[in-house]
Amino acid sequence: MADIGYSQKVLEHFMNPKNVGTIENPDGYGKVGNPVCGDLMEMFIRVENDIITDIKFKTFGCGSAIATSSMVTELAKGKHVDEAAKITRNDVADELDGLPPKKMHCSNLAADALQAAIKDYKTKKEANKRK
Amino acid sequence: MYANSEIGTIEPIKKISEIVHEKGLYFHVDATAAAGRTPIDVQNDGIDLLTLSSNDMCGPQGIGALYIKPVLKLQPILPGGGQERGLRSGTENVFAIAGMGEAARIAKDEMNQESKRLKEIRDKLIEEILKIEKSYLTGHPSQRLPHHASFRFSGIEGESILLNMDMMYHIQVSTGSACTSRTLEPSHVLLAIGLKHEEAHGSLVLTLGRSNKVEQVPAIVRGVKETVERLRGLSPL
Repeated sequence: MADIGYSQKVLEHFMNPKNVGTIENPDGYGKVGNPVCGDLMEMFIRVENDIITDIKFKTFGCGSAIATSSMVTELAKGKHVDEAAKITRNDVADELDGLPPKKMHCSNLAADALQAAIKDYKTKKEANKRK
Repeated sequence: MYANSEIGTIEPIKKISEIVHEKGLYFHVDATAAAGRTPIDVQNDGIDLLTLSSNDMCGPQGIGALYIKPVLKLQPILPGGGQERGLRSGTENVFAIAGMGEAARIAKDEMNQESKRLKEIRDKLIEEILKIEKSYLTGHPSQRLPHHASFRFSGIEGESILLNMDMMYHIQVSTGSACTSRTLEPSHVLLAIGLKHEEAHGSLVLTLGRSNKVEQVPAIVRGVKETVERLRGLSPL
């Protein structure tokens, strides 16, 4: 696998991804990517008192797309939504001991999916306040 | 290409040659994937130029050959010392040339027997792998290289198939997925045969060699089946 150039950590998360699955009636949901491009991610979050208590993902994509999805769920779980909102694609790549340069767009997606789910949560929360 | 390395299809070379010659053009065929696997007759097939690669015939790497129809005159690409009849100057790599010649001789001697043996393994693989839900053969069902089986699977991506097959089952496979290419574009071959981008991403190529045995089929099939199941379990599609 040397020619793909994945770190040991990427391979570990690819082989044993954490937090795979879906959450029914999630407090926040994000979907990014497109199967035409070869990457599609769905992120589900459960939030209690602004803390992300549960997070799940489903990903169609290459090894690093799966590994970054797994890593971003680990980084976000247990965090305040405002803290989790600061997680960037570089944070995800750094935690995985780096990604091959051309794979950086995949980790971009994992962080984007999380941000989309947080945004969805905040939008729903605002809507509920107004009721 | 005489035979396509990604989908295994052996092309109707004689027919193509007729079309090319009707237009008054020369016909140059890349036989890298086909040489040593299927009989090639440059005269009967109407081939003017034929490219061959050594390592694809189990010969040494870094050497190839170009057949030139005797009546054709080519311009040299490297002028200088005049080696290779003035066409490609530079000292010849004699060891590699001898190695390629020997590899070609062995491939030719064993081709009939080896093709028959590999076809049996290939057909068993195809039969079993197509039992997986939403799996499809790519390339021609019968006019294909004897050692080549290629597929696509809905809802999953090829690089992760390759990675999983290697890490979990120690089986080396290939894919036309965008993620393994330098351009991040899916295989132009798979797009050219009419697959959509999202379909072309989930491709798998299995090629067999001398060391493969029919007894390995169940383990390979199990590896592919479990890989597809695992990745579909992760996929939102």
